[in-house]
Amino acid sequence: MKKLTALLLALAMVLSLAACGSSSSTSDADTSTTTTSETSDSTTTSSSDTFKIGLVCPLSGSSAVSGAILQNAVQMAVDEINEEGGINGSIQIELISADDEAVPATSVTAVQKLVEQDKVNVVIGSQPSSCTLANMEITEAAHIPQITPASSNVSITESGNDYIYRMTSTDTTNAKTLLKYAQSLGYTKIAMCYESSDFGTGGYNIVAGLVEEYGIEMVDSEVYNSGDTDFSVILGKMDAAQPDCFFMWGYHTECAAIMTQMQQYGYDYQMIGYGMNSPELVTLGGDAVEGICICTSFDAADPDPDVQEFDTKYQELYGTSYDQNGPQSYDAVYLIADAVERAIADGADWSSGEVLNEYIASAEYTGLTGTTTFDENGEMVKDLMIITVKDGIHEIIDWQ
Amino acid sequence: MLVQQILNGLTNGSLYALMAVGVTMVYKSLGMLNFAHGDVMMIGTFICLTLINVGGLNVLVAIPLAVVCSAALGFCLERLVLRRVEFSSFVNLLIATVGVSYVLRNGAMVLFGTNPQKFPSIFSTTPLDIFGFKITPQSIGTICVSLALIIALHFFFTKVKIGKCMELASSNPESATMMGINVSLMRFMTFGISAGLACCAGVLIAPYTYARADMSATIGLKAFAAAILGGIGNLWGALLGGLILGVVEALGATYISSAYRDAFSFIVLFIVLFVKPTGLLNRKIENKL
Amino acid sequence: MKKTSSKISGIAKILVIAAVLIIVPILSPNNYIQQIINLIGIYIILGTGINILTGYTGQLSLGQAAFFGIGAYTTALLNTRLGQQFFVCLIASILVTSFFGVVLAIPALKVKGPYLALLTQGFGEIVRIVMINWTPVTNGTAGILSIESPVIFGFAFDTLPKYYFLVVFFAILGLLYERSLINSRTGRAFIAIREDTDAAELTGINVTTYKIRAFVLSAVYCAVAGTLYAMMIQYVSPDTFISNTSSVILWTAIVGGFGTILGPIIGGIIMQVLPEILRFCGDWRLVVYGVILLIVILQCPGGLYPYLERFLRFLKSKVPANKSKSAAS
Repeated sequence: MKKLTALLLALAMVLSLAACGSSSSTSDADTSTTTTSETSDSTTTSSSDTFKIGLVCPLSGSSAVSGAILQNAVQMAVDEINEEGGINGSIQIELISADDEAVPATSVTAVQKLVEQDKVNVVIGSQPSSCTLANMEITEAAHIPQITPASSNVSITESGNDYIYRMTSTDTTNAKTLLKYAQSLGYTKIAMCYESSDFGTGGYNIVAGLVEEYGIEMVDSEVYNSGDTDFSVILGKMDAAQPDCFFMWGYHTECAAIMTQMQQYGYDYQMIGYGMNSPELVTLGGDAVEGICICTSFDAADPDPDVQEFDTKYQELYGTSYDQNGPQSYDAVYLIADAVERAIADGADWSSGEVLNEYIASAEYTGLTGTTTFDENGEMVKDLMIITVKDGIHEIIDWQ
Repeated sequence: MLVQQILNGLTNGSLYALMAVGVTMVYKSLGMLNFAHGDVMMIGTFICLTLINVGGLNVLVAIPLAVVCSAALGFCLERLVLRRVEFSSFVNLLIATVGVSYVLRNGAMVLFGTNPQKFPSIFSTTPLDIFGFKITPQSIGTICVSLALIIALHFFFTKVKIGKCMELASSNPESATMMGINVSLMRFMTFGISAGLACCAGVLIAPYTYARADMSATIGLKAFAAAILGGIGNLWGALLGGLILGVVEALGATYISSAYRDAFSFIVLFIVLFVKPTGLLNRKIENKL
Repeated sequence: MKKTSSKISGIAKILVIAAVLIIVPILSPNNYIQQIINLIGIYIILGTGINILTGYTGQLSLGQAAFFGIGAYTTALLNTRLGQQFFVCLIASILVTSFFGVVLAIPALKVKGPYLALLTQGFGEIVRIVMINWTPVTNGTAGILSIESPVIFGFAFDTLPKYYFLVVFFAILGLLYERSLINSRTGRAFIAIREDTDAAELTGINVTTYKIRAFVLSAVYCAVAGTLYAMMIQYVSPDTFISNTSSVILWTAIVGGFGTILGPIIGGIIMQVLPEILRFCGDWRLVVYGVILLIVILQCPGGLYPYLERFLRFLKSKVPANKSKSAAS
């Protein structure tokens, strides 16, 4: 009797969850019909009156600041397009965000919700590679295209998944650019420090594999953990190996700390790296980060008027800093809109995941981050630049 | 390299010691480990930073204010959470502090953002060259302040009347009650002071680590390890334990592996609990084990 | 007459429970809900494991996520590197995790209370750091991808509703085993150790072996849960097995009611459903979640189980007259 009633109670809870789950999707449908304009070129189903973009990224927990950048940039792009009337002038975009807390299992649940309950047309996300690796199977199984504007792990596009696209530079392109730059400065020996995450380790593996091609020898490599605060040990070891310069593959917080400690211990080396391009770098590092050279696909120092407009608007709307994932997410939305417009021009049915996928695959979109096309694995093809910090301001280096 | 690393180890160690003192005080008084100690440190640090950035206060003014606020937070926690749970099972007491830690940490993430923020240092960071070894006034200052605070506490507990009452209430509540000391009030104050100490540790650590919502993640456990290593309930034990842990960690990272650096504290903890759970400076076998 | 009536009601009970369990996946509207239900099942298993260790034997453990992770990684490695299937993975996970259960139990014998909590938490941290840094084996923070779904006797559990039945099977198995364990001599020894270890020692109970047994048992439960988890999400990475996970596992058992069999069921449901329901809180979601849990622990130190008991007693008081009448006729 006890067990029975306990299970009935459990069932009641589950059903209430199902009820709240289905009620939220009906309320979504309500809001979507109110924003549809009468001239929309819709087929009989109501879902083709609006275009639904699902965004999965960390919005709470320790990676929330990274996820917020995606959320802010995507929201900005969606609002801009909707103000102009929508995609093709008539199709409003509805943005549905799901928080994955940077936990892979939660990311899977979040994408399932987006795909099955909210019935989105396309998914943008996630930011951490571990989450994207976990959740991209859901969109693949549902035949819905997914663009990650931030995950850099190479396995994402090498897994044979036809529905995943990446709009951030891979470790390979970054490594090649950095090594070429180091070579151009006449360096032949480097010591490298990198984060123990898949981001840092991936970068290290690729750099280590490519150094010989550029006539460079890696005389020492040291790993650190995200959140580490004392780098005296690894800096000491790197210095002892007597390189020409330091290489780093990691994020701005640790970079600021590392360069501050380099200053404290009197290690005077050129620092070259990837991953730390963020306005926070100067805020945290102060004059210690003067002269660092970073490879990036986007920087607010770019005098291009579109870039400047984005930068001003982002600061106005959100008042916080952003990294390259911001403009990449922004471009992702516009690239998707462009794909939908090309599909409509061809008379194709963009509400079908497979069809939309083909139009995204064949995209050639020019935006904030340059011209984006995808190769057969969904990998973005793009040129990169090197920036440096001079007097606390980012400056693009003309070195090619 | 060796001496340099020992110096680094001592700097970190003095910070662990300061945290360990707060932990050990609470243990002595309540018989439990406060798993929210690290997060109280973090909140104190952010309060200080807010006073500096938003209130425009000078660092030296903001710090004492923040310490007072932290103590107030400690008082609130004791009243609202701990007092309620004290008489139910001990597991609940512990899990309540885990719950508090969770709420504080996530609350901080929402209120202060998850971006690490720069924290001004009281001492200068330009390195000094002493006999060929580089040490910053910041390191020296950190070690001195920690030592000074611990010595001050020692005098408080042995010479000042209230301090002596608190000490007695912790180690022997029955006798204390018989002498007319309000044990529950003493416990309340112990918690507040421990919170204030945590804030002190925080403002000393933050210039190195930046102020961040997950500051407590590793240092929390290391504080416990240091307190147990030195002998729980023992003030000098906390100091000794902290310093030893800092040096062991620095040397381990240099000669064994820098990636497994954080693991060394836990390994030390394991060894201590296995070999001599009472710690280095405690001679009696504590009943609480 | 009474015997047959209780027999009939016993069979009726089982049939109704079975019917309810079978209906659930049919009623769940999509994979999102089904995934949550499956996770509830996995956490029930985890909660039962810690219930045996902490609830019945009084050994506080904040490191269960380590066993969960070891179980999950063992399965992941055996499946992706050596192509092993479900049963081999399951048994291997159990063996490896049990070994570590003994490893943790040995220092744990000497300490109790907050020291034990700290020890187990430290163990959890060490395991996590190894997961991150032992890259040649664990693939570091990138984790292990492409774990296959279980194929048992030719039947593939490759969709979530199908997987549900696998999880339910093991959850029920775990609960039944726990019930028989508690009523056995081992169970009584566990409870004796919890109540007063010294007195237990004096009555001739070999505290050492029983404590080790408790640790190993909880590790076995975690191993089963780990295998199920790995093959369901089909991806394992270190950031799933952090100290917060250990806290959630502990809370699962506490919120439901320590030292009760049904407690982990209630706890499992609440701990998994609550964060999803709270999604409307936006940024404050996790803070509200923590506050709710704190309130539950402060207000209901025995967990929510007593409320369930009261509710059941209330129901029972309404039914007896009718039941005995129908049975008699």
